[in-house]
Amino acid sequence: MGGKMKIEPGLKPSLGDYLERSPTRATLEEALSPKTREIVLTKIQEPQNLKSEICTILSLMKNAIEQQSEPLVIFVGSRGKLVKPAMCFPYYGFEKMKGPPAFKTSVLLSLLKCVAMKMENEEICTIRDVFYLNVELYKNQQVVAEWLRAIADAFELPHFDALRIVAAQKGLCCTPVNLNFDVDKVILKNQKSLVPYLTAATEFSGDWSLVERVIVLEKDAIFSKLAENTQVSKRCMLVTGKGYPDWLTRYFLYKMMLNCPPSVIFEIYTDSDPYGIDIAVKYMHNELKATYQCPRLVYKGVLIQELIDNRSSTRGLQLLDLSFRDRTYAMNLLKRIAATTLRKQTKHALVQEVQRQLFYQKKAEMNTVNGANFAEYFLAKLNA
Amino acid sequence: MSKLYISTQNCGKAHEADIFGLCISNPYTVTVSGDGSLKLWKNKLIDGEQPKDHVISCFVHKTGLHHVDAFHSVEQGGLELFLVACVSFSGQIFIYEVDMASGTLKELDLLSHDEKLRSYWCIKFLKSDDFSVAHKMVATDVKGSTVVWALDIFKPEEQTQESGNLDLKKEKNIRLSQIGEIPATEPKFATSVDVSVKGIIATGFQDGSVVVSQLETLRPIYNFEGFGIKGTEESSGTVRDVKFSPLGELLAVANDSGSYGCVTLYETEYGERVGNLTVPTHSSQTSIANFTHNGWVFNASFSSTGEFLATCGYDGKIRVWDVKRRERVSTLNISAGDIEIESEIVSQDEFGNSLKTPPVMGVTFINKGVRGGIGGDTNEGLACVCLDRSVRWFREAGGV
Repeated sequence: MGGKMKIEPGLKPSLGDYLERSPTRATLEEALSPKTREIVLTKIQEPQNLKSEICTILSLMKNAIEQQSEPLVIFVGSRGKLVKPAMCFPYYGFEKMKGPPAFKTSVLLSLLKCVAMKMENEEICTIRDVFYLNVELYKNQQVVAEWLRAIADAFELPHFDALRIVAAQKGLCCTPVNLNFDVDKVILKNQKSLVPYLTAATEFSGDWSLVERVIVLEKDAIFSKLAENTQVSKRCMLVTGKGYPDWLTRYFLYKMMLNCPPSVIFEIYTDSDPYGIDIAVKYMHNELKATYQCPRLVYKGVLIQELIDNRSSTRGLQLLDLSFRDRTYAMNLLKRIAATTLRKQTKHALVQEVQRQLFYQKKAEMNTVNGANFAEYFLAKLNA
Repeated sequence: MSKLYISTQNCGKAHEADIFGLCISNPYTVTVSGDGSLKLWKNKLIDGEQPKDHVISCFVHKTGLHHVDAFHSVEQGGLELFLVACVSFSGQIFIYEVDMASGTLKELDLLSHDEKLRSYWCIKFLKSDDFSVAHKMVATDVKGSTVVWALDIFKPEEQTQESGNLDLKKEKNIRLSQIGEIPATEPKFATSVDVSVKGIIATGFQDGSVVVSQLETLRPIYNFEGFGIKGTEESSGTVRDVKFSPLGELLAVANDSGSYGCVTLYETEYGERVGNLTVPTHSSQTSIANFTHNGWVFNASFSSTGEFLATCGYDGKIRVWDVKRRERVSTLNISAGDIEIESEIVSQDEFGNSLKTPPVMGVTFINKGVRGGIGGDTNEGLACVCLDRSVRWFREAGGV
């Protein structure tokens, strides 16, 4: 508490004392404001010290409250680039609460504690696991994901998974050769398996001479069909992010790109709609982090032109009208692609596809190609 | 009676991407493309001159362009005015004034801030032959509205005309002032629009319907439903083009019928359907579907007299129809190999898909006296743009 006043030793100042010394409301408020301790979560110079840094922060907070009885003001992110608004805990002041509610501080602290624990035990767990550790506090999984992202951003960590709490795996892969990685881990050949958790140091090794292509597919149904087709699966590595890809799948592709020899061709097949094109762009380019992109990917289809040319098939018409939402999405997507740095040829192909979809006012699903036989279409394209 | 058209000139690799729009005016054939550029091809070429050596090119927008219309008129005082309006895939309208002497383009900023916020799709000019009536510009937006502007060329006249001198040079001041809009009853995509000299606007929609409205009141008077195959959502009847005949008596509507393309003619005074333009099927069995093209019809164009209608489609054909008899009088089969300069033939796209019979994205009749060369003055002609990135010009055979 404000200590500028002269008071009898051993006695605390009364409210009267304060009023006497503070002529205005502002000065009174200032005099009555407690001394606070500022805690700043900011860039960690050496990521390997993450654990000790977190422990220091937690113990600083503990000391402030336990021993000095000082409220905390927590800044997530350095000054000027705060990730979240500053939080006061416990709350002090006269007016009604201005800052974020106290439970947000609890969320932050409990997550920090959780991260420190995972580091201590050197284990990885999923966001879902953490959420179920304290459902009452977190309320929903989104909150956990959002705050972990905030912590990673505040510490300016190179990877989201440096906190050792990661999203559940979503992507699938299927490889024609056994792929060894880390120390004793392996992705078995000819088996659909989840994209494994990776670290910055992960390197894949295998008999690359048997891998002709890496094929990225939007849909896991198509992925499954191709994986079961030996003609395809014996020469191509298949990857799917099941719709919009998660970070891990993108990171996996990035790693593949680094590890595969230049002779391996990277291709992507998506639905012939604006979202399909957007998904392709998501794999190819990332504005913020270069480790989540794979510029080597070539967009191959499914092209709206191929579907129209194929329309005389007896299976009927496979084309759907663009909806209002599709159209607005496509128009914005075109603007976005035009502003993105991609290889010239790739950009041309993607822009042309969206333009044609818009001009024809049509879209189609990749499943319907070649009379709903994607494998046939795919092999024809490979051999062309 | 059949007609014969012969190729007079063509130009491969006219643009770097698909050409989506075509229109013709006296001085230039105008094309727009997905590569974002607008090109004005000089019409009066002497024999031996290549189109590519006489083209004005202007990069407009990076998202690409799809619809274009040109406005060419000689105003009071002999002022020659040439405007080109095009729409980008991002929904913006760009209007350029072409300086006829130097061949330079100047972008005009004619829309208000609020008008610029909308997403437009199709655009058309209506030239008024009466000096006291303003020219019009009409555009559709993606929510289905049709917006109408008055296009004024001169500064409003001041009342104090004491001298009464009619030769007084008026000051040029090109302006667009919005007259109003025809809102859609429900949000649906307005794909095409045309406006007739009789003061009628037709707007075609993605769901196959066409709304015909009065220009003066902006009130709908007729509503035409598509005549395509009905029943499933997949076989839509998207209207791809609407066109009034030169005198405004007839309206041609090109719409999808599943994977085929149909053209239906309507009479505009009473809103009656006159009939379809169909290819006769030489079959002993009854036909299950009548169609104009074995593919979507992208564009239709009346000849200057209104006697003939040219249509083009995904099947790589241009068909010319006798409107009165509703009979086909000519079919032009486009092939990528037609292009004169061999190195400019695009017989397949970047993905290796064949463009040997390229879909025809746009067609327009050419009036007599527009194109140069033999027969240009005596015969009408046709111009088309195709998916093989080419522009082709034809003229009717005979009489030379």
